[in-house]
Amino acid sequence: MTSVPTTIIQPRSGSLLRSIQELWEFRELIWVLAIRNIKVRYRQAVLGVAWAGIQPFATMVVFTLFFGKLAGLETKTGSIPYPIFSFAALVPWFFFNTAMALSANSLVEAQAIITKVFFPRIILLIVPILSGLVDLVISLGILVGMMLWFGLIPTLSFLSVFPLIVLTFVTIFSFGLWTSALNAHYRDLRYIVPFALQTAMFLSPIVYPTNLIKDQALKTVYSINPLVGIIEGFRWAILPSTTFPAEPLLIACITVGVCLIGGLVFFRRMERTFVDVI
Amino acid sequence: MNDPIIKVENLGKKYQLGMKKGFSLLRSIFLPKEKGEAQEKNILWALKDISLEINKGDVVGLIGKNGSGKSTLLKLLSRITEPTQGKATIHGRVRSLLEVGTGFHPELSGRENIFLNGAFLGMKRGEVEEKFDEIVEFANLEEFLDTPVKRYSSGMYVRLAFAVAAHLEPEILLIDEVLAVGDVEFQKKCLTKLDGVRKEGRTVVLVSHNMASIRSLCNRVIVLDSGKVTFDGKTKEGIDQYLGGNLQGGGIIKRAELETAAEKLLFEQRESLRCHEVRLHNQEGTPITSLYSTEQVYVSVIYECLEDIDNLRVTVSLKDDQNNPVVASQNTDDASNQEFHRREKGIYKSTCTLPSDFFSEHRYYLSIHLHHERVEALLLERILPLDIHFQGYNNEQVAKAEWAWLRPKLKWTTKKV
Repeated sequence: MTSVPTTIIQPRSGSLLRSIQELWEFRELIWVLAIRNIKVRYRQAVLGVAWAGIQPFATMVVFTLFFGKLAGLETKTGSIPYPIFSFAALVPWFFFNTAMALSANSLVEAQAIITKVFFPRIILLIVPILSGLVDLVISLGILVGMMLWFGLIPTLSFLSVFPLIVLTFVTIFSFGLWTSALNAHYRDLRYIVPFALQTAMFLSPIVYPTNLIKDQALKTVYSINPLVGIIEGFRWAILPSTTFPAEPLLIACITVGVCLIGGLVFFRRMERTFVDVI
Repeated sequence: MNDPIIKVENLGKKYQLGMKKGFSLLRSIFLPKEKGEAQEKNILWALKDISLEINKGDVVGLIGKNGSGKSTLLKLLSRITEPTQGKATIHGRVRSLLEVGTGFHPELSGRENIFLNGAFLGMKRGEVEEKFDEIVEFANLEEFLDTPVKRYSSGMYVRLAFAVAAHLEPEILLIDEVLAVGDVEFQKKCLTKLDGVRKEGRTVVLVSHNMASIRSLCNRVIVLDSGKVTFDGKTKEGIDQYLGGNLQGGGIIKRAELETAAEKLLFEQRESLRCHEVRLHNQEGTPITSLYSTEQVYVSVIYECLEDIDNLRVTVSLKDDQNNPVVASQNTDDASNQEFHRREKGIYKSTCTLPSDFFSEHRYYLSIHLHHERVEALLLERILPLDIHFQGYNNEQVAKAEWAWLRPKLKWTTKKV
């Protein structure tokens, strides 16, 4: 007789270890869903996947004109040309922004499926982030193109964007654990999330450099926003002659770590009752 | 290994009513917690203290009225929701089919959706590939494989969905009322497939209102009523118990009993109908449930319109022991009823006369439907039995019980040609 799994169903059952094991058993579904998302997103759009590049690029042009030229921020960015300065921030920002918005709604949108099929719910969170990676790769390609245009040859330090992308991934995931689970119970999140994202854009050094903040204590508090470290990291990857943002990145890792652990516990607690309230 | 493949011990699921649509964050922060008593009122035990064992190779039919907890039990066993109390131990992979076509994406082609749906049901890509041709053949959709499913007809959609599900090969298959879809031919194909699944020694738990398919597939039946198991045993006895469950003694049913027997469908949040009495009687008005075929049968329904109602339909039907309708009639069929096309608020009595020399020797079951279009439907299923004793015609009594459901006196001519 082949080994068959034994499942015990009871209130509050299942350890975290078992959840991870289940996630592995359902890896196929993660993959299929991510591919589906990518296919569906750009199907029947004339420019298709080009939109993934057009959006951040157009934003960069607008930022360069208004914040760079008009507001005069281009003189504050040191040796990085303003278009590169802002685009380097827009690459992780667009990834963060899109995936955050999608993952907050992921459970509510999958209502029909959640109430009919069993699978680890956490998959629904991972999928939008995974499919966002395609857009990220495209905008990263544009970033390299722009660097060459401005005569900045990518050095070995450019490879550090990859661990930074991993950090962004985990950041979105850990935030998503909270927003999606809360959204399933409290639809208020539908209004809070877009507003919070808009605010987050100004709380992150996208259009302005962090050296505008002089006060050291304030800067530490400011760095609790993990995007600060991530964006600074991206800029360092392009121009390694600037100082490595060690402190903001360390603070970012702590923030994300706390959110992740708390989020996993919270999500698992809420997971049991999604179906009944969603 | 003689352990049951599914062992359920004291399983229960409690629902808190009145929070279904999600609730406001602000409200839960600022409003004080409701008092315990008020909360108790809104609690519904969809299942309570359920204990049962299902053995390998069993095909179990789960039957019961709407709201009896059948679907909740399947949801608990398939881990879609968690129980409030108790425990279930399952040896083997469970795959459940609670609704055909969940997880289909309209923009994707049939081919892509086969893989997607397979993944949702827990199949590996390799498994799906192995079964791919079989699935396509079963669904009979070769030509449309690369068409987005949003262009499929609903029939095609259902065929594809069932085909994927039918080719799952779990140890335990949970199915909820999915056989009710599709055309008759495809339904037959599905039943044959399920029969094959059974022969392979897999365990199936099937929820259905279709007694014929329960009868032909299941070796065991569990009847649920208000979250409790009221019967667990042989298929035939279970079905009899379930179908007989609504029967009342005598030929008359009063309001209090009707309240519990009625199934109400409210399309708007208001009640417009109330049923006071159902009576089965003879020409003299005597309540009776057993008549000769030479007598006329009267069905009277006394009901109250709580508001002015346009176009109220009263349907009287007689069903066989498998819940198939034998004969049905509506008040609107008779033109003399038209003056009551619009009913003012008040109490009414509608009587339907079923002809003499019409029925065969059988037990029929009376069902009444009151239907106020788009507002409310009041369904009284199988509330009274009706035993007809066939008297024959012209002093000849030739009628076997199995012969036919109706044995009316019809016009015949015979000529030598």
